[in-house]
Amino acid sequence: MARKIVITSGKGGVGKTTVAVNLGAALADMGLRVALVDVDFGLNNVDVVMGVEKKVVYDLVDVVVGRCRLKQALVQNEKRKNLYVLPSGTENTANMVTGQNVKLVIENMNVMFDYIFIDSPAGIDVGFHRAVSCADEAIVVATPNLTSLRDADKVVSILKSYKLNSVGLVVNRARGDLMLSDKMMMPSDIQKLLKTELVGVLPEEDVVFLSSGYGLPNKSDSAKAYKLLAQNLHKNTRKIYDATGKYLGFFGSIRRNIKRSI
Amino acid sequence: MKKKKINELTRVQNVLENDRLNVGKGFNELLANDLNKLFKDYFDFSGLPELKIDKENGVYRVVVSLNVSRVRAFNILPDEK
Repeated sequence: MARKIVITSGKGGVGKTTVAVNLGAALADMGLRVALVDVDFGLNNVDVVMGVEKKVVYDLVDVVVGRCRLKQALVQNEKRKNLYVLPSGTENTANMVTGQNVKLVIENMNVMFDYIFIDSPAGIDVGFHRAVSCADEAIVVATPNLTSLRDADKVVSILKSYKLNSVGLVVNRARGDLMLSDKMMMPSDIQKLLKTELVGVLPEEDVVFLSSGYGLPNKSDSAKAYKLLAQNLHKNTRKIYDATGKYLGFFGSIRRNIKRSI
Repeated sequence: MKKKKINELTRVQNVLENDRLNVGKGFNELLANDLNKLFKDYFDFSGLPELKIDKENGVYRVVVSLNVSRVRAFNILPDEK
């Protein structure tokens, strides 16, 4: 049985899709079979972030209406053979798909995968509920600022009504240098504010932008943070990436000063 | 700088708490004034009652605290009109 996890946030632009894709890739590197289901109709980007957009022939809507079989719509990642994407349709086809339809498709993927990540659209309307209704667990992605935290708090409160097995918090775009100079909230503070268990912290890094979100260099801090997050999820450990680590000590303070001057 | 961070944290906390309570602006003040009128019939005190309202799992918890100097005797309660 696959673990079905919805990646959500409330606010747009906090990095849901990037988190879904890289977390999927980190789990795939651990030898697990992973599928990413894009239910963000109209603003679908999982295929683009993963760089397989040219390989997309069929999508989720085609599977639902019976134009193709599920296996025909799944797009395999070239580098990681155990990582797949089920792309979503365009916006004008969103009305053809109900939460029940998507749930049925995902249920059919149960035996094929160990993890199924459902990339939820931003907001808390129909698309969000369609995504959450297909999942057993949720990961709420938030960035350390008021608007994101406010939306994340609303999402957490809505998720409670779904009685999911677990709701975890991922703090994205953490800047260790800003945290040490008290200009950014610490992930532990955010965890207390949202009353949700912290499962991962992901640093803000240029490599994420430069790689369009996917294909992070192995030695990058982001890759390490995603690896920890994947282990936390799979092994139920709670080793959280320390974004302040590289800014501590003598060399850390030099790094911090350089970053401040840029 | 530490002060700025604490202010930011308090601000976020206040915004989240107000959102969670889902009550209008001035609700606390209005309730405190009404409770003040009610308590005056029973106690001697100065200042307004302090209110703390939380919402957990869909249930509101209202805690009212008030420093009272004297409990009024029943015979001095105002007559009902």
